Amino acid sequence: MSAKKILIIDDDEDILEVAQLTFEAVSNWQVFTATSGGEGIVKAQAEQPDAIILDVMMPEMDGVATFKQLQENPTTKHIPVVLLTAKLQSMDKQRFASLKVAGMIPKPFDPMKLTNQVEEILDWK
Amino acid sequence: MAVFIVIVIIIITLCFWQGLSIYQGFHIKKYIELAAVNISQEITAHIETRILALTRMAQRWEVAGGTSPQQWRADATNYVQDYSGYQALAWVDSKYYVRWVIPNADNQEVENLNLLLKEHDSIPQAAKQHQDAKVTPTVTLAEKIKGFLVYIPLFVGEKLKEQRSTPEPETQQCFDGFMLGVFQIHSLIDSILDEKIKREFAVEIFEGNNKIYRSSNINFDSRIENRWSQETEVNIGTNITWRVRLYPQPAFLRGEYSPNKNIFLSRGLIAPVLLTWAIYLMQSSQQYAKEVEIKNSELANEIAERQKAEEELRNQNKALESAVVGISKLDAFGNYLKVNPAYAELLGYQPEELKGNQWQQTVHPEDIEKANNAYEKMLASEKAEIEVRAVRQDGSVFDQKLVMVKVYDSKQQFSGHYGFMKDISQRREVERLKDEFISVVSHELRTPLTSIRGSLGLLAGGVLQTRPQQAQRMLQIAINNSDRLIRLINNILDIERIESGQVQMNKQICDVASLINSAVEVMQDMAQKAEVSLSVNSASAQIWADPDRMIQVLTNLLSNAIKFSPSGSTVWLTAEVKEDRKSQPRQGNFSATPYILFTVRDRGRGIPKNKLESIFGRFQQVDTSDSRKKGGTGLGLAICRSITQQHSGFIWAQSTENEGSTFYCQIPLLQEKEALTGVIKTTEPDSSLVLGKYNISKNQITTQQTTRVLIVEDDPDLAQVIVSIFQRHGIETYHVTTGQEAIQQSLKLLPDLMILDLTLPLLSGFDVVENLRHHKDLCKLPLVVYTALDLSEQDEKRLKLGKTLLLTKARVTPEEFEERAITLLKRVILNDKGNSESECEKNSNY
Repeated sequence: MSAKKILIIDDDEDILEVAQLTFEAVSNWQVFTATSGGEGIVKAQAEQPDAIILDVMMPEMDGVATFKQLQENPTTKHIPVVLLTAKLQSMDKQRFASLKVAGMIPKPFDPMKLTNQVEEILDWK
Repeated sequence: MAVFIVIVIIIITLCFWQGLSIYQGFHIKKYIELAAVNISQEITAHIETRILALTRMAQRWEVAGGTSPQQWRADATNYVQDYSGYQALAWVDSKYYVRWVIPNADNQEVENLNLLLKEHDSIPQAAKQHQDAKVTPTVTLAEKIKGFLVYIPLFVGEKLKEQRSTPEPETQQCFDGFMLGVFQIHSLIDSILDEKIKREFAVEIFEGNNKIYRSSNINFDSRIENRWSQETEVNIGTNITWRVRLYPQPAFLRGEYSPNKNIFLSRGLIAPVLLTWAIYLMQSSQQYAKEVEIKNSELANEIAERQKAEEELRNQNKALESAVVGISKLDAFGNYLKVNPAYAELLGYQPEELKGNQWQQTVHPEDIEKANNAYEKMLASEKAEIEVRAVRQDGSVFDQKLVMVKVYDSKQQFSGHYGFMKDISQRREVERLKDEFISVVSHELRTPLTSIRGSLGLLAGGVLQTRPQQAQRMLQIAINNSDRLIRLINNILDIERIESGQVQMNKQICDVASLINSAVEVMQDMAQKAEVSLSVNSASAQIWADPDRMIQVLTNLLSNAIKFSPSGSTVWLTAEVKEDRKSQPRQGNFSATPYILFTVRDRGRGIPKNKLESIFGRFQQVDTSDSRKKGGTGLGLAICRSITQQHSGFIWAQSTENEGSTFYCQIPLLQEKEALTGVIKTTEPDSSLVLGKYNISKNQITTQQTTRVLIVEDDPDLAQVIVSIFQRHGIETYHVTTGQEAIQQSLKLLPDLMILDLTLPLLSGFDVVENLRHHKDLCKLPLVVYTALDLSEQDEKRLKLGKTLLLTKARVTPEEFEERAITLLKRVILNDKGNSESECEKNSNY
């Protein structure tokens, strides 16, 4: 399986750093990062990643708004999005269920299993 | 028992009947017997009479020595006419020849008949011989008529004999023949038997075995004959005996048989029947009486039950009318039949306006399908609960909990349903806030945990063994986020404990300058690292405060200021004594009483205007990444506000973006007399408001007086929240749920503030205000209207009382409510003394 290109969008730079290192060290994937929804959309258009790992709770443009913009954009709407979220309340899950995201991975995550989780969600195995 | 009596009566009846039958039989037999004897005697007497008459005729013959034929014939004719039964009367000469016969016309053939040539010729000879009358046995006369003869011998003297012209020679001395009576038995007996006997009896006469008489026109019934016949004997003559047999005619028996017997029998049989019937009727009537009694009892019970049910119904109607929950009754087609005031009020209607409307009309169009499904479920399973949005008459929407309960009529036919409705908007809002808080806390906790778990996971997984620099970086991330997590947890616990009153404020007289110095000392290192200068200017004053908590407030404000100040800039911390309300741009008008105003000013990036208030909420940062970048938790300012509030103070911020921010913290100043007397020291929880009520006056220290707040709220959950808010401030709270209670308790308590919901059972909040406006002691009652309703301008005018604050539940957070309500209360208390004489007409909304 060829190396994947992943875009991670999260406003928490520590998490961004850990996740990036995880995909690079564990899976040898090519990782791009963005610390906001706006930056993420720009990078998604530019880099055309195989998948986007998207944080939900971000300032200004949250994950849901970012996802909607990605879907509305013809150049990014085909890119599968996996939500990476610490919001696990039932009301949050209901809100996310209405979105056509590929899947959802809860925070905190196990870095040694994160790649497998993404692969399973995106059916890359 | 009844059957036994009936049987006994029947047996007795039959016995009597039988006795009567026997008695009557005996009586009839006796009667027949007597009749037979009488008949016998009559026959004997009549025959004897006739024989005697013949004898007298014979004697006249003998005395006269015979008689002329003419004389005899005349005499004989008289006899025959006088005595019935004669066939003939004849004189038979001594030679036994019949000479004279009367009546001659019918008996000419017997004249000159020699009787010795006839049967029974010995009889005349015997009569002659014995010189006595003799009767012959029955003989057959002419035309086969049964009869008998009576011979009376005649004996006369010589002279007489000569006078007669009879040529016959004398054969016997003095014997002159016979006077012969020839009798027809049938005619004779018929003449003897009277008509009564003939009607009553059949009579037969036998001589030996020969029947010589049988009464005519008689019914002969062998059964009657065998049973009732009586015989007597009649001696006619020597050796001649007649047997007279007598038996009754059916008509006689019918007459003789007493109807009493049968009447008795019939009555005797009818009586038990009647008795049985009577007993049956009696038992039936007793049974009926019992049944009637039971029915009456049941009826009485039913009436009592009905009265009880009616009473219950009246009570239920009363309860329905005054129920807090909206209750409606609908028909089988889903049309409103009746609604209680609460129901109508929730939907913004008058109760009568809803009648006939379809219940779905009050449901939000988007929730109709869900509501209809619940209705179907109710039809299938008696009851259904649902939470959907309801639409008021004015189009506004609220969340309702609707319980539908199926109703049946007296024939157990589905007749509609009851709808129980509750406005759950407040609960939903509380739930939403709670969920949101939990969601935020969850996110805030999970975010550093994610970094910790991820970095440690990579290290533990061994993938960084060949990358020592990255491994070191992961360790640093784990440590930083651990620290962040610790701070976060501490702050969460801290603010919860402060707000719930679990943290005891160790208040004491504090010198403001000392507090500032202590805070600056704590923050000096951080300022130096950030290359930020701290500028301090403190007035000399004292406050009644927990020094540690006040230092916590100041260090927090300083910390934020340092974090967001560019290096080389200055952060100013000042403390001034203030009285001028105009100097408090936001929270001003607190009091004309002196207070200390702490100010922390920086030259940082500033705060957007729309976040100047929200930054004092939990996890409300200008930029969420600040928590990581600046090491904040998003709880610092919320803690500062809680601590300040615990000191009866206020905290707020002013800012210009890109120019810097100023944070103000206002704490009441300790007065000289308070410091001297120590009166101010009170018990927990924080009694600052109590102090405010009696102690803020510049010139005097009054006696202690309690601050009372009356909370009028029908939602228990929300009421509890409001009560907790005021109790945290040491305020005495009273809670009522209806408008009526609100008025009563207001009159009783004369509270310092009323928190009033508008949607109340019985009397609405509008009614309460209208009522209180007419009380001189309550017309200026300070009021916080806390309602879910969107008020029109006209509504707001109707809600004027004292100082009035209008807050909409969905638009004001609990924290904002607390802040604004407490502010109003403090103002009211502090202004109370100066404005105590204000007139009701001067009331105005705040």
